[in-house]
Amino acid sequence: MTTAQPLLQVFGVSKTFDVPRRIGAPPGKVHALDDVTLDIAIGETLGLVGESGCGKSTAGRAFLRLIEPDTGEVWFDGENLTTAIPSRMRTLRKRLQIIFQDPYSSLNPRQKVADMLAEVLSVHKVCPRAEFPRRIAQLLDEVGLPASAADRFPHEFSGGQRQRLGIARALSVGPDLIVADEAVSALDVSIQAQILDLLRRLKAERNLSYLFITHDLGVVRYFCQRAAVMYLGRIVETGPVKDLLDEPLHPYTRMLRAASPVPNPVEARKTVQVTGEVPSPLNPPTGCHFHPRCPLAKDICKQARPTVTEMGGGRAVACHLYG
Amino acid sequence: MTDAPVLAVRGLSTQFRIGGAWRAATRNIAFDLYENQTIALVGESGCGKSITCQTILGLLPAAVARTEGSIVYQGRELVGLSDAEMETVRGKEIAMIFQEPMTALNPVMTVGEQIAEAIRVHRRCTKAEAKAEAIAFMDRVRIPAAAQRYNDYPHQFSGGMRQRIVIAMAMACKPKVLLADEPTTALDVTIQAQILAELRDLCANFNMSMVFITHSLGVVAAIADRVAVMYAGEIVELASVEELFAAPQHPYTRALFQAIPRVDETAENLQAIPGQVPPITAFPEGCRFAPRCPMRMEKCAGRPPRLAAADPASPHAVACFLHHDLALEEAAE
Repeated sequence: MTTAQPLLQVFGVSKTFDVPRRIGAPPGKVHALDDVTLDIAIGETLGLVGESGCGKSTAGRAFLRLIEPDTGEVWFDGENLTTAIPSRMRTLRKRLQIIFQDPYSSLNPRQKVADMLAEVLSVHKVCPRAEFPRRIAQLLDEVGLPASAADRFPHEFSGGQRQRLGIARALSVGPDLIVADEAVSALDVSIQAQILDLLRRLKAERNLSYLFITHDLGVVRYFCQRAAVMYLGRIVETGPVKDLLDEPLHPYTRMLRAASPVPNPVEARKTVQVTGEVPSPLNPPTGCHFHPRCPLAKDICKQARPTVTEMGGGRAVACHLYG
Repeated sequence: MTDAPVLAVRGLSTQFRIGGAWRAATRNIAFDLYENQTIALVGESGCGKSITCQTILGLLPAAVARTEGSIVYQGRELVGLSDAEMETVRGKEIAMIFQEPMTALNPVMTVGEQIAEAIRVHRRCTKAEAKAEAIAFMDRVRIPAAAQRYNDYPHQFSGGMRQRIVIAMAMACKPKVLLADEPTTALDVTIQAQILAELRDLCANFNMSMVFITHSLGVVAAIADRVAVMYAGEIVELASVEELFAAPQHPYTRALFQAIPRVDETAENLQAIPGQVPPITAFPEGCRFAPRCPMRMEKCAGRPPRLAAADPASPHAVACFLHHDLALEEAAE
């Protein structure tokens, strides 16, 4: 295992989608990802945070080539995924898995759990068929489900248990990197804590890395070592989680942090300086996308896109205040 | 704050017909809501918080649901009112807003007309007056360029703006009580912060009381004066927001606090609550939290603990034998 080289390296990935606007008008373009660069070290959990429509889910899918990026490169363990041929990509997919917010929609309602897992094992030729039952029992045990779960259908499980099934399926092929797309967002807090604990334990046992996509800064603080904040398709700030949340640099990170509910009646009632809404990604503001909502915006913010400034201590910010 | 509560709920139980038998989804719900006050009902999915609000407004169909207990609104008993009598209360006196504003809006009618319609249903006024008032309310909930946007349809608004429109509609009749069922749960945090601030302002400016349903203790901290923590259809703890956050008493409330990942403090470990909320068909006999409770005692499985203050002088009530003895309860009966 190499230590110096990141497991996943993303360089300048962009993705635009054509969007039909109104009847008769030319189609618009959404810049879902705009020159996204980041990396994840072996055994690291990187949080990717932002509000709805900021492109964080698109990012997770584009890094795994579930959506083909328009430009940019994604390197995984020293290999360029963006140019990998399909047969090679299929092999690599064993090492790159994803779990979703709503596991129910990604489970076949007419397939028993054992059949669902057996299908994955056989498609990816993980082990000989004779070993399937043993392997399936092992996987269920690993995610905290009883062996009897194998003979049940997805609808017989609660939300938290279904998320465990989604995790079992991702684990079945022995991944190194798991993209978790809002994997605990739909769960009640008591169940959320159970799943976060499970993911943490699996990470330690299997030396996993996670790209943890979420809108919840509390979850990021608890679960991630580093975080990247996205706004309208661009990464505006990255850094170690504690620094990023305790002393946010980018005005957007500050706003997000200030707006996050804190279970403390004194803190929670302080007036929060939050203005405006995320503008339409069809027609994003010029220069720095955040300038119309930014209390510190200067003239240059309207004209030029800020470049990334390294701030030391592993922190970086894309903001003219620091340029 | 006046002496008499605006809304007094006592011994409220909502039962559903499931598999031929009546099952109580909520049991013995009791709280007082005073003028200008916000009480939060907080709990996880299926704890009965939404059902309690729907019962207050009489929204559950009589064929499948029945209500026991008492709901007194400004001295008037609401349980047992006919549909026609309820109509005079609904919207005008007690209004409700929901999590998903799109489902509360008519997609083929402009938002302005919908607010104006709500005004004209409950009050005699001309169309022009209703329109002027609707625009004033849209302005009030900070919809930019309200006069122009009067003629826009719901799909032309963002989620946050739609929730503002629903709030404007609910406010249009100047209700005394607003029931808010997770109104910010589907919104991004920056929009949530704005809507919470606006609801606080509206309550203060219109002398309105609010029952606010949420699953988030962070939101409770931002909006509530009093908090009722619910579990499996019962209120397990009832206290002022300051007391509840400073000294939670019920093991479930404590467990909730230890299970939330906080944005303001780094935690080494979250304490997950083992097991899951029991289904309505399998509520335990005694304390419903007992099977998951780390402090469980033998008597917890016997009979349900009553919601009572450990210290009779304190308004901080808890339903747990750790805090008041069974013997005490029996003596009180």
